Amino acid sequence: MSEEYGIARCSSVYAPGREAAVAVANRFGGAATGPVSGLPDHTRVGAFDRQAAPPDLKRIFSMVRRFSPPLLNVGVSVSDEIETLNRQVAALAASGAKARAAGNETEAEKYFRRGFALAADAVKRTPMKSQVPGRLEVLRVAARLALDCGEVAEARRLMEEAFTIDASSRFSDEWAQIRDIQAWPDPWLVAAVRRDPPDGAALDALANRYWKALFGRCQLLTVNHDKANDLAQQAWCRILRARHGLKPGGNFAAYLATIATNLWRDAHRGARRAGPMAEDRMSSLDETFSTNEGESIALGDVLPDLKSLGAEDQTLLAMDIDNALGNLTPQLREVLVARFITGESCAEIALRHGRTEQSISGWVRQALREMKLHLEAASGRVAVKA
Amino acid sequence: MKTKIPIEELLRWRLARAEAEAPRPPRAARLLELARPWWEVWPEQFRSLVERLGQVQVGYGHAMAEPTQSRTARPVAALIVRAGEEFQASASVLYFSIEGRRLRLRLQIDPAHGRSDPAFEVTFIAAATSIPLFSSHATLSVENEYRLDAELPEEVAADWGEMKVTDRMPFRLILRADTNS
Repeated sequence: MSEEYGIARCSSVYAPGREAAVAVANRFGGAATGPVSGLPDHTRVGAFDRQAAPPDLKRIFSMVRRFSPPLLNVGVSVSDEIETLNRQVAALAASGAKARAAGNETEAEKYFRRGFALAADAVKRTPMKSQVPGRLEVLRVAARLALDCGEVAEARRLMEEAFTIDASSRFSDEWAQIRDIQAWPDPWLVAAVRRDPPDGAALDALANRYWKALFGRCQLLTVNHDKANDLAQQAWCRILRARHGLKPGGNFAAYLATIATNLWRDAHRGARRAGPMAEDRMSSLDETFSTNEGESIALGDVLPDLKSLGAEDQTLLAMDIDNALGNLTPQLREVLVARFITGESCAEIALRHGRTEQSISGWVRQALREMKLHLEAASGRVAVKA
Repeated sequence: MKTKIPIEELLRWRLARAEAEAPRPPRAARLLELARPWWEVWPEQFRSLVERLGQVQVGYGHAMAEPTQSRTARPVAALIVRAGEEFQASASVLYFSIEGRRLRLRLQIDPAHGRSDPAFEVTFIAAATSIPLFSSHATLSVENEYRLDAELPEEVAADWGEMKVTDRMPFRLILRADTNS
């Protein structure tokens, strides 16, 4: 009898999970249900091919089947089930990440949710007495998938369970990213904000992460501290009202900046249409400048090295830049920010404005010329002080 | 010592300075409060506006006779709300398309109501139940014509998925001007 147990143990060493995995997967498979055969190829556990198996293994399996002590079979079966589930979970997580990166959020969420359901199942099936590292790993995978779906409360629950099993995991690198919300990648934070109700801590983290950059852009557009603050808040409000449509895999910072710019542009659209110079201005700006000078027009020898400026001079220079920006039309200001702060090409800006690339290039040059004129007129003060 | 500084560099320097001077970010609770839909913030005003909206009569014959309106355009009862003023109006849906949950819509406002506002916050009210469905921003494209691009709530997208521009629209509109916040 002892020899039989020995053989059984050998079988689990030589063929970890293979045959049993297929049977188990077909019993438990799928996003929780449904056979493994229903999953995409890459999510399927390698099936045991009887014909291709080495003769030694075939012999061992037949011996195992013949003796198959019931208690041992249960142990092997549970372990195999978990291994199977884990593999399926990993494959679903990879598919979800791929779909999310491709911008297909509906598919991504399906994969992540299926993965999370399986991971949660694996957590339940993992025996409490099983080895701690194995159980922790199952919990960690489940927690990450919960965050991929925006299920923050579930992730926190799983994390606490892990910390209860092993207090030292609270300080381990494996759990560091899950533990610290500030370290969460944008997709986790955005997924948490999309949900109803949105997770407050995730929203705080997301707002903190991008507030300064958003405010800076709004300051360049509005040239006014208070208006910049209002515009930045409006951009957030707009995003939160439509938060169900947010794409966790998208470029959130760029989206935020675009919303702010669109809000600002909409607010100035009427003024631009009705402005006394509007029509003349538009026609002249549509002309292409024939000069070959670069887009960055260097100021003459009028400004000192920025690094050497004192605090007071920096304040004055900031005011001069604000005044110069404020003297531009809203449209020129926006194009300048898009070109030099966002780094958009003239072709990309042209697409947004429904103009030709040459027109936008002309607008940029015009904006630079006007900035230069205003700064030159004002910078005497800075230069003298410097 | 003076050096030549490209304007691009000046802009970046100004941006960095603005970022450094940024006020503290608003807390999540504050943002969520600001983002609450207006009908939840001012339920009394909403009820009153819906009541007025219910009084708007739109005649298909009238709409079809309007020379500026397309033959396929379906009139929709609308209420234009500007600071302290309300106007009963009709809007014609010129284009209506739903892909997934994305609604793209073009509508023309009855030009009898004064100036063309640069943008409206458009609140869609269920015609049958007077329940607010969602709101989105529409921006002026040409004279009295507005474009709207919105992500629909799941249930609305499911209900409207098969709708065509020639169908009778199951909503009425409250158009609020100057509401960016």
